Order: sequence, then C-alpha cells, then structure tokens
Amino acid sequence: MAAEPGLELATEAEVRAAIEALPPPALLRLERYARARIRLIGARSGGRDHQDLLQEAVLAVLDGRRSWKPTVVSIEKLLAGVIRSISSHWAEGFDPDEATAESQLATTDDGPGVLSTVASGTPDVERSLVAKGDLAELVQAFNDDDHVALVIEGFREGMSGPEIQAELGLTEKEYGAARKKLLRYRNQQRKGKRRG
Amino acid sequence: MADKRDDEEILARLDEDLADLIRDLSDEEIVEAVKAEGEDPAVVAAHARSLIAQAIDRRAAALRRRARQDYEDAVVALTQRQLRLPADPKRRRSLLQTAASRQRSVGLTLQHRDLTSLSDEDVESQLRKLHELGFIDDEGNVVGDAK
Repeated sequence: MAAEPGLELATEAEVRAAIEALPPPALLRLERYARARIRLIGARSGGRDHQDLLQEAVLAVLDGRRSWKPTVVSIEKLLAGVIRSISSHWAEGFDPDEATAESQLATTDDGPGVLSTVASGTPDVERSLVAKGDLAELVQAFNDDDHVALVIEGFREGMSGPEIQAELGLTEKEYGAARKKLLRYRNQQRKGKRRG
Repeated sequence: MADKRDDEEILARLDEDLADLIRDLSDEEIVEAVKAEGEDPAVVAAHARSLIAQAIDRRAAALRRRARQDYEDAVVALTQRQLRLPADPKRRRSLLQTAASRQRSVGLTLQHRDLTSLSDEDVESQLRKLHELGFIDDEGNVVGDAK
C-alpha cells in the first residue's frame, strides 16, 4: 500500500545524507545524550559505551530497522529516540548471571551509573551512599531556589515531570529553567567527583 | 526521611529526566554545557562526526558483503543446475528445433533465426539459455506444450 502523501519513508541515501549533514550542535546533543543514557543504565550496558550506542542508533536508522519519515520528525529527534530505546533495550536484556566481574565493576568516564546493577542483585552500599550524598547536596544547593526545590521535592514524592509542573503550579518556562539548573549542577557534581 | 534505596531511585529518576532534557537544549545551551564540563565543543562534535562516519562505512561494507554473497550464491545456483544434453550435435540441433516448434514462446524467440546457420556452440548456448529459462528440463527434455 502506498504511503499517505507527505508520510513517505526516506530512502537509505536520504537518511545517510541527512545524518552526514547534522550540524555541530546536533552532534553535541546526540553525543551528550548517548553518554547520559549509558551513565543511566550503568553496568547493564553490558560493557558497551556511549560511542557504541551512538553508532548502533545510526546503523538502526540506516539499515531500516528504524524508519524515518522526514515530514514527521527531524533526523536528530529520530536518532535521539533510537538512542533512548536501544539503551533501554540493553538494560532490559541485561542478564546479571552472565555478567563478568569486569562488567560489574565497569564505570563510564563520568563515574559509576546510579542505576548500575550488580550481578548478585544485592544493593551496592557505596552506590547508595553516593546517591544519598548527591541528593543531599542538591537539596542544600537549591534550598533558596523555590522552583528547583519544588522540582526536587516533586521527584522525591514520586511524581513525573509533567505531574510536577502541573501539581506544583509551575509554568513551562519556570519548570524548564529549574531543570536546566539541575542539569548544570549534576554535571558539575559528576565533574567534581571525577577530579576528586 | 527517605532511606538509601529511595534516594538512589529518586536520583535515578531525576537523572533520567535531566538526560531527556539534553535533547531539548538550544544550540547555544548545549555548546555552553559542553564548555562547562571543561571540553572543547568543536573537538566533541568532530569526534561524534567521526563515530557516525565509521557507522556509515560499516553499513556500506555490510551492503558490499551482502551483494558479493548474493552474486556468489547466484553463480553457485547456476553452476549446480546440471543439464544433460545429447552428445551428438545433430540431436542437439534437433532438440532445439523441437523446442522451437513445440513451445510457442520459444518459437517466437527463435522464429526469425535460421537454425541451420547456427554453429554447434551456438546451438549448445541456446539450449543452455532455454534450460536456464525453464523451457528445457535438467534431462534435456522440452518442458510442456504450449499449443
């Protein structure tokens, strides 16, 4: 059946041309996003790093496992979505029993992932302590910033991003600004730990 | 107060949300974020482009491998189809004549050719082509009758 006009799938040549034409800021977003996703899934990446993730996403779009409708989504947004789904798939497919001792201890350049899973499934005491310390620092750092403090509180209450915005009465702009402050702070926290 | 496990989960959900935010940063914001991490945005972008180029090359190499394999498979399939032709050149010519007269489509293909003018090699070549096209079976018999 022919695709609806305007919803045609891109050919492989079109996909390739679009990927090769990605501007530097788009490359930065994709690279940082892949890095963040690998950090999130930690050892469940099975030893794969953000470079593997970025390349796997490109291959999935090129070989048609993930199709691209140029009029529906940009190639950058599509690649970001693929990075997300592949990393989730890796995490879901992780078998702790098959993990090697090395992969259990694997860390990224940015330090151990907060969602890292150890083979035995037992809590990693050190990881829990790091998380506890990081969260306490965050709360302390934004004690005087109402919007950021509300966002942190929302996450502590188990709310999702949209719920936090709606429940706490934050405008989209306020919510976005608060998240960006948190993102900067978290990056600095990790950077400090790398240096430390 | 939340226990250790809760803190880990809270931070994990927060980090996942913040990771998704990276996708929505403006061009200026992502450049600033990379600089704030002490890295050169130009170097990071160039490295990402290099990784992507490697992936594109891998895909091209895979396509070349597949095309070569398909070709080799086709050659093997053709060479594995054995055709038993009569040893006597006259019987071969007769077979071709029969195929031409009994198979309407073959007859159309050959109707303007003077079969007597074909060399023995041409006759064999024509018979092999008819075999490949399925008009002659592996035992050298004309297939069907399209009358």
